[in-house]
Amino acid sequence: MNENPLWVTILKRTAVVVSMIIAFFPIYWLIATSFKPYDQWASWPPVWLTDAPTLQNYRIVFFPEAAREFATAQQGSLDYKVSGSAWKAFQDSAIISTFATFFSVMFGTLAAYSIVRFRTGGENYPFQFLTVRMMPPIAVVVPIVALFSILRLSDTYFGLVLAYTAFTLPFSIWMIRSFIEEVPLELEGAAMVHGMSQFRAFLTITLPLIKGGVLATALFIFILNWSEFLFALVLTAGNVITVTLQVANYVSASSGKLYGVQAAMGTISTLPVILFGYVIQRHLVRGLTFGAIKR
Amino acid sequence: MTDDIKLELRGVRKSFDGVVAVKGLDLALRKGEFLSLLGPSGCGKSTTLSMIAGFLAPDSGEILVDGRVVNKMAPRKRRIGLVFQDYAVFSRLTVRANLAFGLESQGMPRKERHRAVAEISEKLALCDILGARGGDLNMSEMQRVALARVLVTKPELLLLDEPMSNLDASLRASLRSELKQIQKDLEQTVLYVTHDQVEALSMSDRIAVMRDGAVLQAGTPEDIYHRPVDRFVAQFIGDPPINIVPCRVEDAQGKLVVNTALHSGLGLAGRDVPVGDYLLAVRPHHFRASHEPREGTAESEIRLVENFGAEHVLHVTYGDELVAVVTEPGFAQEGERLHLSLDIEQAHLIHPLDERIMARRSREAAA
Amino acid sequence: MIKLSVESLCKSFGDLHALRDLGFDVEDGEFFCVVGPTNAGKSTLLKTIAGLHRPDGGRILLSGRDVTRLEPRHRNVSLLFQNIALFPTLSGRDNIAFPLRTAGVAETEIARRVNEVAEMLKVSHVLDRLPQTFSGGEQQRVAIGRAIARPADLLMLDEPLTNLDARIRIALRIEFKNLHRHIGQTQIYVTHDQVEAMSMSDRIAVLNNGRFEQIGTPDDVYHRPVSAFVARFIGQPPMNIIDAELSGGTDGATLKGPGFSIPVDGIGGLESASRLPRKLAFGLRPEALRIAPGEGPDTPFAGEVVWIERLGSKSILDLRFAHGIIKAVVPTDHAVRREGPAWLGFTPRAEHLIDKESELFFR
Repeated sequence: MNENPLWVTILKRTAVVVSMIIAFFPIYWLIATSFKPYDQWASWPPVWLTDAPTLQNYRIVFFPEAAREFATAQQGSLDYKVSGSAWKAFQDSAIISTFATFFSVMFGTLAAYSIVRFRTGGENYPFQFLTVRMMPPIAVVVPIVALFSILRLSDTYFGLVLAYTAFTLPFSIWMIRSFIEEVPLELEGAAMVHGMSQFRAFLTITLPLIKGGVLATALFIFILNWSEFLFALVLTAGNVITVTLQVANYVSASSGKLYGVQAAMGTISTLPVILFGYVIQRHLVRGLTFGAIKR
Repeated sequence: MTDDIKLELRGVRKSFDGVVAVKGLDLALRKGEFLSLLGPSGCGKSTTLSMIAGFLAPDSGEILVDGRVVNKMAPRKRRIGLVFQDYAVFSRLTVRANLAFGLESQGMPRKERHRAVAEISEKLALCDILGARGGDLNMSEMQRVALARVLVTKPELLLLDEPMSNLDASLRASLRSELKQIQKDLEQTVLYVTHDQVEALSMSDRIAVMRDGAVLQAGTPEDIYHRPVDRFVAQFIGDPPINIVPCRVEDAQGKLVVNTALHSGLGLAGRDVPVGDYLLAVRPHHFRASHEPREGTAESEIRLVENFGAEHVLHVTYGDELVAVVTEPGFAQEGERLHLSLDIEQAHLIHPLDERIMARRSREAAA
Repeated sequence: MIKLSVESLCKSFGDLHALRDLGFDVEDGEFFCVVGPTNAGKSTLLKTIAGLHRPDGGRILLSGRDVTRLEPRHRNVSLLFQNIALFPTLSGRDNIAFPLRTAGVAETEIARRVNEVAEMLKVSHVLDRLPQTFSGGEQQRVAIGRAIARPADLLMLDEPLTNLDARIRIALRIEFKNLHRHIGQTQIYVTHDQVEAMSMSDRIAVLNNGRFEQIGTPDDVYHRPVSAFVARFIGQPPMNIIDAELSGGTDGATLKGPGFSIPVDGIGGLESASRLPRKLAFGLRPEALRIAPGEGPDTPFAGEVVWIERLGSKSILDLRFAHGIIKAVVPTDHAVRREGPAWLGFTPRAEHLIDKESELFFR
């Protein structure tokens, strides 16, 4: 029944190619820039592929000596705030994102279960949760900064984990809720009739079935946390530093932004997310209740 | 002769990933005929229907409507009406809008549309509910609306795919005769797909029993019920199912007789089969049960009684097997013994290897 | 001995009253069937007894103890769900073993028991596969296996035969009855199919709209229905209900309707007509009608066969009679086998007289 004329087919394919170019261009530019020497970072006409690839940008990210060397080479006029290597930023981001993701998904799963199975909070409760995310974060930043400093949570791991958990929880609940709704009540009912408490039935029967959904949610939340900038900026003061902050730190008053170094850091910072995605991808299978239920 | 053939399948085959679903199917439907494709799940009946509707293309063979090959024709151009299991009546639209829906999308002018809807709703007794919404209908009305919506487009052929399988048992019985009467009144050609032998028996002019992608037997309900060609057809038709017990045909002084575990010397007048081992198929109401021994009876024990209200089905021992016997209510209790005879005239001999039914008595021979 | 006792059980979901004041007892070892149309409240009843729904009111007593407030796992009941609900991530073996594992049975004993059950249900060949590879019948049997693996005080089966091929249904009907005999467990069997209810049960409860219309043996509900609903629901085709009027005095009174008239003393089992109202109706089972091609002492009333539905060994006749259509069941080789005039006769019985007002049978 595929009776499209040729020009429609051509148009369709062209549209696909164009949108792919638009989607992949930033990634290409990021990686390409990370290997460019200093003078090609922002040169005009743009350098598409450098003829003198260098690892200097990456060295600057990880080794303070390399940064000092670079500064000397640039007539010592670089006054960027890089006090040490980016290791600390990666370490802090990993700790904060991992814990915040874990808590968000854990509390999200429990809350979603309660909402689906016990109708907790009534019909509109899940929607009310989502409204929390409807105001832009910048609008709530000021009171949160005040609150955090009163509670002495500013510039602590716990403070950022708490803030991230609170701000991603609505997404967790909203997404996981839809996965739990797909699991027939009778499956848990069967486990309960055959000797399990409801919580154990949830752990042993329902949880394995929604595993893919929960992991997908975790990936999504992890990406949100990993790339978060605003809260990290206003809730830290040097003690804790995240990857996004560190990227923004590669700025010099005399030379402007250090695009090459930022690109190197940006390229490296995508790796944990890709790795996480790769590890969980085989669990992202839907339709696991197939064969369990008579239709 | 060929003029009144509405639909014809010639050597139609279809396989999926090397698995043959339909193998070389030949079938013809006369104009105004109600034909049922009857078989268990996976026998190829739904695949056949999909090919006729045009949703699947056959691997080989021809599908003809009114003598024209339609293999390559798009589904909507075949003028075939389809009704599925869930009826799919739009619940938010009125019955009138439901009926006009198909015509509107065909681009029929408003005036003609009104006339067509009025005409069909009169025939199917829908006039009183034309204003009702689809969601407020009962199942009987729902079925009529679903049929009317398809019939109003005047299809050459109506295909019904297990339309009653989601309904309560009691409802099905009343919808059966309703559907049959509509079909008869409109002289609509119908191909009906079902796994339920009661539906096939009660509505069809002819039944085609399918198994493993092939038609085993096509014939009138009487043929299929009384003169099945093989063991599968015999077992598929009839509730309670036909009893099958081992037997042996022997020559007793020039006369062929049948011996079973319980009965011996049953005369095989008029049938000519080689001496040897066979299976004997006997319908449950062709056993006679009595409390007292009589000529030709053998004793047996009742293991299980099924109470159907109007009749009881006794499951009684017969050699190493159990056979079902139909009796009037309250005839006997579980654990009691009774005396059983069987009507050999009505029984079928089944070849033990190829499972064909042997030596059916033809009508002429009986007369 | 009473195994299960349900007392004035109520359950609603919002405005929907699913169960209205239900009370019944099930005897030890009994096969008790709850039959009714879709949405009568059948599944809700089972789930409430199992503890998956909390009742709004009433009590549930199982083996003498009040389980109304107990968690499902402490009730010692087993339930086969209408939608099967096999655990999709567990093999057939682990599904059947599930109730045994949670009860802490030793693994060697579990293995023995699972094999025994699988053999009985003929599913040994699917034990090591996942449910998604099972056929419909295999899913059903494995689910049954899980339900019976551990002996419970009460086994509940929710429409175990719906959605299966007609052939498999007939075969499983007998298997279920044999199974019950084999394990001797108290069972509640829920179905919308009166044929299953009639042929399998010790007693039948007819549920309609959250209320029991009648509880009794198959013979009770078939031959002595209490309401028009039961009379129409049990039996296929359903009982004919014919309007009539009582005329004449108490002596020599007759039951009259369009096209017929029957002396009241010809009604079997009727002791006195004095308490009968003038307007009533009577029920007549389709197989109790006498049909003949000609008028006779047994077939005095004229009618017309307008439709014949042939079902193999028997036929259902639609007869135009007394301003309506009534149904009769006759053997296929009956003398009347074509549409056209026919003569009929019947003998109403006292227990089949219906009060027109309440739609209830007189008792």
